[in-house]
Amino acid sequence: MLKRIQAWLRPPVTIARKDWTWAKCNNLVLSTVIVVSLLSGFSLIAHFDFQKENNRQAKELQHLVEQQWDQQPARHPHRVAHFGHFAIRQLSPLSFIDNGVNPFVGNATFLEAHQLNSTNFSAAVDSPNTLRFGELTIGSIIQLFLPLFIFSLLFGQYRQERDGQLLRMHHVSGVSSFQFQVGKLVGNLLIVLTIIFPTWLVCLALMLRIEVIPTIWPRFWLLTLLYLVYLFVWSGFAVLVFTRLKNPRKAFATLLALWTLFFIIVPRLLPVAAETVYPAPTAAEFNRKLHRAVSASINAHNISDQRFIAEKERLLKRHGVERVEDLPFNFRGFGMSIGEESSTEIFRRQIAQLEARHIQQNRFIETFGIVNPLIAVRFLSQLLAGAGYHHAFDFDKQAEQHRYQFVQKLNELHMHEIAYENDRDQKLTSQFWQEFKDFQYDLPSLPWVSKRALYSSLALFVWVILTFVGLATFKVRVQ
Amino acid sequence: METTLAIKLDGLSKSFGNQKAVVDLNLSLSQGEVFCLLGPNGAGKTTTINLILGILPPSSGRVTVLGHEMEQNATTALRQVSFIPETVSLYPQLSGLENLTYFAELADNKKIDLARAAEVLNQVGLSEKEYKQPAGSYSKGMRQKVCLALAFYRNAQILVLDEPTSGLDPGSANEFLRLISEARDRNQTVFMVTHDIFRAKAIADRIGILRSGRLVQEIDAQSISVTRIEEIYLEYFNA
Repeated sequence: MLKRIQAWLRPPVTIARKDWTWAKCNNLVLSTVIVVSLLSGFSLIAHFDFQKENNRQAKELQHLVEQQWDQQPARHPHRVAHFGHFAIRQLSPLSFIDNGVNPFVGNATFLEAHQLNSTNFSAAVDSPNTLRFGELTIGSIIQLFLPLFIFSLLFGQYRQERDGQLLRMHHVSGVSSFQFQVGKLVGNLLIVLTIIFPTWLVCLALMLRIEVIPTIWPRFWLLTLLYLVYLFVWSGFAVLVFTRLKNPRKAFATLLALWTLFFIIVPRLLPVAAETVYPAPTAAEFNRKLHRAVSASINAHNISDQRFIAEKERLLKRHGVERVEDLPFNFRGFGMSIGEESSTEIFRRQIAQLEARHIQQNRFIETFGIVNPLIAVRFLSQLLAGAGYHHAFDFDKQAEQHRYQFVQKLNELHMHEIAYENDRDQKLTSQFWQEFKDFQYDLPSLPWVSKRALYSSLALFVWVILTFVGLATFKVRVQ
Repeated sequence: METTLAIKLDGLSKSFGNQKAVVDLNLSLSQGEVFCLLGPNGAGKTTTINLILGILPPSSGRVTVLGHEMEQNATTALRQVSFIPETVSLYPQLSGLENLTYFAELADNKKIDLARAAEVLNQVGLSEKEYKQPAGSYSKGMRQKVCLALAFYRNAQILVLDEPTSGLDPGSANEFLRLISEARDRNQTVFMVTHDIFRAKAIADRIGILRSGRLVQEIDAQSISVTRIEEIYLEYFNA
């Protein structure tokens, strides 16, 4: 059995080796290798430096706001709740590989009582429109340009092989179409991997210099595997096009047209289509709606609010007292607490609705991963790099959770450390503020990632199967 | 004892839509025989080669190579065949030796004996310096020699040649024919398609004339003069 497998594999290996030698001797290939290596190396280091600097600043800022929080003077807890806090977003450690939606989502959220503020200060807002064309990270070079390079490589080879009747000679050598195509795929994949290998080694070296976060290494290796599978799919697809179409120029033109469609047009049209099918409110609309909903909820600052009065009556009855002054805690603090609970419930509901709409939009786009592997890989790459929309939402959620926790803790202090009488004139010492936890964003776990990666992984898996089936089924058009 | 025919074509036909390229072709080639197929452009010569090599499936009829039916068992059948196309380019970045070892390794599915490959290349008239040069610098004659060396190295029982002498200078063409003759001496069967009546007469045991996909005449090349072959050829095509 093993011998039969070895015998079957010998021709593909011979073909792959020959294509490798072909590439080594081809000046055009060599110059492309140099250009791509330089470009990807430069992009890698530039993004790594940017990320390092960005995160250094973010860390410093976060430290500064934590310091400012801790150093507040003696204050009334509700004043502290309005003094607020900032949650600063650091770029995920793998953002230097794939920057994803980072430039388009905000970096800082102001957290305060009774308010849901959006995350602001995105790079796209402060940058020229050219940023919309996407940044050139090593991830985007692999995703966008390496398939193009594979097409060019195969064009050079097939033009020679068809024009020189070398395909007929392969056929007469008794090499099956499957063996021939597998050999071509492996050979070209090896050439492309060789191009990217030095850059990936640099990547690995840079990884050793970043702060270790538990899921980072598995994410990095999964990302490596993802790109390998992606390049395999495109190599296989391109081999199939070149072996099925008689004219290599037509095959190349077809692949270029598909590249333009799949890589330029479709990824830009899909968000527009998704927005049309599943319209999401603009930031202004969302804030207006949120404001309306919050205004309709219990207002702890308004003592004539009927629901607030009803809550008060219920509380007095439960504690068997007639006046709020007789309650075992500060009623104003309690009012703030239930007001916060009520408005937070509204915030979270509204955010959940908005997130659900964004998820619908992204699912709509993700569906096209079955037609266009770039879509599937882009989702997975961003997800693994921690730079996708899922992570942006997760940051907002963790920031909102932090906001709720510290505001409610302040309300607790208000209830139990501040007396009802002369409430406004009382203060708590700064020692209290130091007991609050700092904001720390935790990169989600791998199960969290895998749950969200399911559809795109499946789409990519279908592409791998289709590639194999295509290679095994379609015959090389020798003529 | 019945000897296996090298090539047997039984009622072989090939149509492309309504156009009939090869019509009911019946032909048997014994081992060690040199057969030349003559015909003008569009007569169906290259289609016949493609059918013999299993590159095209026949519309009807069958091709048998050394007892193996091409449609059923192409890999085994082709293991005994070596082919030299009309425009043989080889891989220009690889040397003659590398081209030979590449195709030989593919066909034989085993490691190459480099010393023997070099010896065979020498035998067909390529010096060490020449066969170590990139094939991109080769003339057509040199490229054909590499292909012939491949056939010799592999001990292929059958050589299929598509217009091998077209575009060669007379010296190279004669040198090529000498090598074909050596192939015959080794009992290798040669099926050659050509326009060149004179060289066909010089090398072939039998000559076939193909007209509009039909084999209209089979001639014993040794029993007839070249002038007569030319007359017969022209009779068909001026008719």
